[in-house]
Amino acid sequence: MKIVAVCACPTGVAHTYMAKKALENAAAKLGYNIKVEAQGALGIENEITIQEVKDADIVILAIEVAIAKRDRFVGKPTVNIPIQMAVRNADSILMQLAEKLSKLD
Amino acid sequence: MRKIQKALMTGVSYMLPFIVLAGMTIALTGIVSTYFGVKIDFITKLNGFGWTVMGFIPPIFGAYVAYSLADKAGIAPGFIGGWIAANPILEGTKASGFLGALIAGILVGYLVNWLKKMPIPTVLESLKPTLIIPLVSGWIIFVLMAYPVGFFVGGIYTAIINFLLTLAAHPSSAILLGAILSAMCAFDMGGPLGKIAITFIFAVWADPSGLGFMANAAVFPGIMVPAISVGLASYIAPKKFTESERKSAPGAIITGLVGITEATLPYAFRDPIRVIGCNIIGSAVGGALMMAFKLATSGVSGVIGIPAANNPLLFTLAIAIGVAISTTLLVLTKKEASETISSEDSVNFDITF
Repeated sequence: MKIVAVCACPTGVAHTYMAKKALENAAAKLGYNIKVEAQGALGIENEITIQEVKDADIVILAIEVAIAKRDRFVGKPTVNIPIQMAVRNADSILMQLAEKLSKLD
Repeated sequence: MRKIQKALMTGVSYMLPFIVLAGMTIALTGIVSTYFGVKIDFITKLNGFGWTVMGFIPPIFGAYVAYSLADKAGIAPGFIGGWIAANPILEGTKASGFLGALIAGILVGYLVNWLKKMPIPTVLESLKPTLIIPLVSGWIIFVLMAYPVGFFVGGIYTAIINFLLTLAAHPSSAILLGAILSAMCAFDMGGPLGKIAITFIFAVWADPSGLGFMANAAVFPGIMVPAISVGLASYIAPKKFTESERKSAPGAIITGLVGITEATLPYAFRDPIRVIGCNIIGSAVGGALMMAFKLATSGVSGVIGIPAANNPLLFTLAIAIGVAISTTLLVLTKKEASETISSEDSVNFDITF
C-alpha cells in the first residue's frame, strides 16, 4: 500500500510533526510506503509531488485547518481524520485502511 | 459545525504571528519607555508600529476564516470584511473587532462558494474567477459590514454606554459598575465590548467625583487576568491544555502582565465557554474589589500602570485575587485536553473520493 498524507494543526509547531512522525513510524512498522507532508508554521515541508499523488493508493488528511494545494488530491481516495487520532492511533488507522482498501478492490 | 470550527482554527493559525509580534512589541516598548524614563524616538515609532500590526489582526483573521471555507477566492473579500470590522466607515457605526471579522469571514466563505456555483452564460465563465467573484463578493461584504453590522454594533455601543452612565450616577452601584466594566474587557479579549468600557472611562475621565480614575482602575483586572490565568493554569494543570497551549503559556503571561488581552484568544477559541466564563468571574471580582477599595489610577498598560495607582499594594492585590480565582476555576472546570485520548478509542473514518 502506497500512502501520501498531509498533517496540519492550528499552531503548526507540535501536533503537525507528532502526527507526521507517528504515521511514518507506523508505516515503517507495518511495511507500507508513506510520504507525509507537514504544513506547519513555516509552510509546506516534505512536499508531495503530483507524481507521488498519482502513484498513491490512498490520501490521508490529518488536518485541523485549511491546507494549501489541496487540489492535488482531487479524485483520489481520501480519508479525513482528526490530527490527534493520527498521533495516538497511527498503527490502527493504517491497518484498518489496508483492510478497507482490500475490500474495495 | 466542524467546517466552522476548522475555519476558526485556520483564522487563528494565520493570525498568531501577528498577535505575537504586535503584543510583544507593544509590551517591550512600553516597558522601555516607562522604566527607563527617556523619550527615545525609535522606541515611540516601534510602539506605533506595534499598534499598526495589531490593526492587521481582524483583516488577517477574516481573510483566513474565508480561505478555509472558500479557498483562495475567499482571501480578498475576507480581508476586506475584516478590515471594515476594525475600521468602521460610516458615521454612527463602531468597530466590531475580531468578532465582526469572524462574521465577515463566515459570510464571505458561504457567499463565495455560492458565487462559484452560480450558473452564468458560458461566454462569461472565464470572467468569473478573475472579475465577477472578487467584485461581487467585495461589494456585498462592504455593504453588509459597513451598514447592518456596523450600525448594529454602533447601536449596542450607545446603549451600553448609556447603561453604564446610569450605573455611575449612583454611588451605591459603584461596585457593580466595577465588576461589569472588568467583565466586559475579559469577555471579548481586546474586542468591541472592552473598547466600550474604555470609551466609557474616557467619557467620565474628567468627572469631578474622580470616577474616571476609579473606572480606569476597575478595568485593569479585566485586561490582565485572562491571559495571565490561562498561562498559569496551563502550568498547574498541564493535562488540561494542549501542547501548543502549554508552549504559548510564558508568552501569554508576559503579554497579560503588560495588559495585552489578545493572547487569550487561542485558548478561548478551543474551549470558549470555560475559558471565557472563568476569566469573566475572576475579572469581575477583581473589578469589584477595585471599586470596593476605592482604588484609582491614571496609568494604563498592565503592571506598567501599577505605580500610578493611589494604593499600589491593594491595587496589585485586587488583580492577584482576580488571577487566583480565574486560574483556580480554570484548573477545576477544564476537561482533559483531547490529545490524551486513550489508544483504545476506536477509529471511525470513511474513504471519500
